[in-house]
Amino acid sequence: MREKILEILTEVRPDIDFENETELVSGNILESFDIVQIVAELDDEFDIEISPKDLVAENFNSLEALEDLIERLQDE
Amino acid sequence: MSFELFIECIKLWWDPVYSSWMFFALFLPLVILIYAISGKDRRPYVLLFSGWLFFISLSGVMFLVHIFETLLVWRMGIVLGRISEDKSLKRKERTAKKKKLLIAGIISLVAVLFVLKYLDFTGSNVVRLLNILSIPCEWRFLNIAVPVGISYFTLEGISYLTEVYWENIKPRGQYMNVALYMGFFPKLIEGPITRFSDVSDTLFSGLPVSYENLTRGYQRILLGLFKKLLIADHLAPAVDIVYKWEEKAGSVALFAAVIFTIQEYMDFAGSIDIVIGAARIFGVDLKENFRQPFFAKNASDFWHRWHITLGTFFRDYIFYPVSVNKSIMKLTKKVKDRFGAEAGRLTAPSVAIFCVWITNGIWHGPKWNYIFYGLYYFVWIFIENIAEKPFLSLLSKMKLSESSLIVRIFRFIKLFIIVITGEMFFRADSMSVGFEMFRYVFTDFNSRKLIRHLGDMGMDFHDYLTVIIAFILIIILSVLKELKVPYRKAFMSLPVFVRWTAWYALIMVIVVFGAYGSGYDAAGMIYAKF
Repeated sequence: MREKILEILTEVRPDIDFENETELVSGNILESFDIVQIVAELDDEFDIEISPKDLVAENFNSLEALEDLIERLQDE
Repeated sequence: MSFELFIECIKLWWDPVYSSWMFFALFLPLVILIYAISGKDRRPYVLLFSGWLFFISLSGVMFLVHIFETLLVWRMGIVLGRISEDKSLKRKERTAKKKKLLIAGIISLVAVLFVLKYLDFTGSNVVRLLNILSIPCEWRFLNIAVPVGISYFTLEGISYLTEVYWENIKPRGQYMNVALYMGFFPKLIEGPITRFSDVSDTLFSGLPVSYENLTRGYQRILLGLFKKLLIADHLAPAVDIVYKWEEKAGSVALFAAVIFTIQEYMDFAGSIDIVIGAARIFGVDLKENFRQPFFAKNASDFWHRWHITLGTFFRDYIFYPVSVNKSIMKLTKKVKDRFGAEAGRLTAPSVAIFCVWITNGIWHGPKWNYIFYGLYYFVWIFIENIAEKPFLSLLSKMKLSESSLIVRIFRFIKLFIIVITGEMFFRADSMSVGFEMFRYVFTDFNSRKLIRHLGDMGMDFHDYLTVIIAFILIIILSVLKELKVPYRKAFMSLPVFVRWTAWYALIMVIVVFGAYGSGYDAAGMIYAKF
């Protein structure tokens, strides 16, 4: 799962070091346009439904946070 | 004494701006005193009732609209919370039920705002359209007095209900909590638009007034007064005069837009400094609303730094929900299949930013200029999003770094032109005047006319000098902030008598050089009327 997420993220923003960055949103690195694009790709890839409620900094700040979010949504 | 007479008496000595002496030298200290000597449990009530008194003094009987909205939000919040905890329902049923209630709540709040603020505008425009279609009719204007701060506390009500719906916050059972959240007097008139979770730990706790918070709060208030009284209010008469658009020249139009932009920024940012300072005294940290906007790299970044709390409100409650909406997602897929990946990538955000900017324009008030202003930024942000990638690849081909001086200067000039042009239309009396001013910049610049006109703008030599020096000082402060220079720490390490001398000197400067008196009556708070 991790590799697939990383692939999607890198496709959207190849200029970011997603493996080490932990403040993607709170550090203003990812922009809202990027987030929307990432959500669309993740929804498709993992057959989940990321809702506006989930679009908070804590869920998008790092690769690990995104992994947790997807796992949680898959369990629901 | 009748209630109406009592209200009129209050209004006579009450100037409805935070920069009035009555507010920060009498009302605020009085509330601080009563708050400080009250018991911990009573302190939130002191804030609530002083907020209500403040509201009544400004809006009289329209205060009841505020009460209605707070009651509505409070009750709906409780019902939403109950549905969330109703385990007899399936998750989908719960969500559907809550969604209906949330929509009803939002429609109710928006309907109140619409009737009070936009009905005359909508009605008169519909009538105008019908007349064009040769259907004779007329609109009788209602001219309703809009309660102060309604555009701000309505958004706060929507935010509260949505967060309860999303289960990010637990609804409060006590009416007092919701009423104080939406009616906390420092932020009542101009925001910052506050989220419940930002203040829930402090606002209702009755925190004591500490020496640290008191001094820091009043220091921030002084900074706000400096911006507002020395710069914004000095420029106010000149802005009014140039925007009468009697001296028609491109140079005058450009000058008008520049000084209005400075006035608006100093007025709004200064007022927010006063608001944040006043809230701080009670131990409440409100969100910052500005972050050196003129250092932004593009229009989109500008709005991440200017009126931040409005931008984040629109991002969280319009941009994201629209972008990830199922119908929009389907549309994205169709566009992607038909026109390629890049077009698909832009579909959802473009629809969403259109919704954001049309709402932003309308939110500012019932005027075509504001709607135009919103759409104007939609177009720029849309263009920037398409052009950013080609621009960056062009830079790499030219072997130029994004942080190089020449790129930064280019970006600044581009931003300056975008912002100034936007403000030209924003402040113009009508759209036709706005377009005429814009046309004159290119067809009849005539700088001599501006130079001749400078002497009769309601500002003498001393006023110009005061504004220029104060403005330079604020720019220096902004540069230090942008470069993250720890100037406050350096200042605090100075001996105590030096620091206090500096603060007293600042007070004296504000008292002596600030803009007061009947000539400055027009200088209310710009963002209070939105």
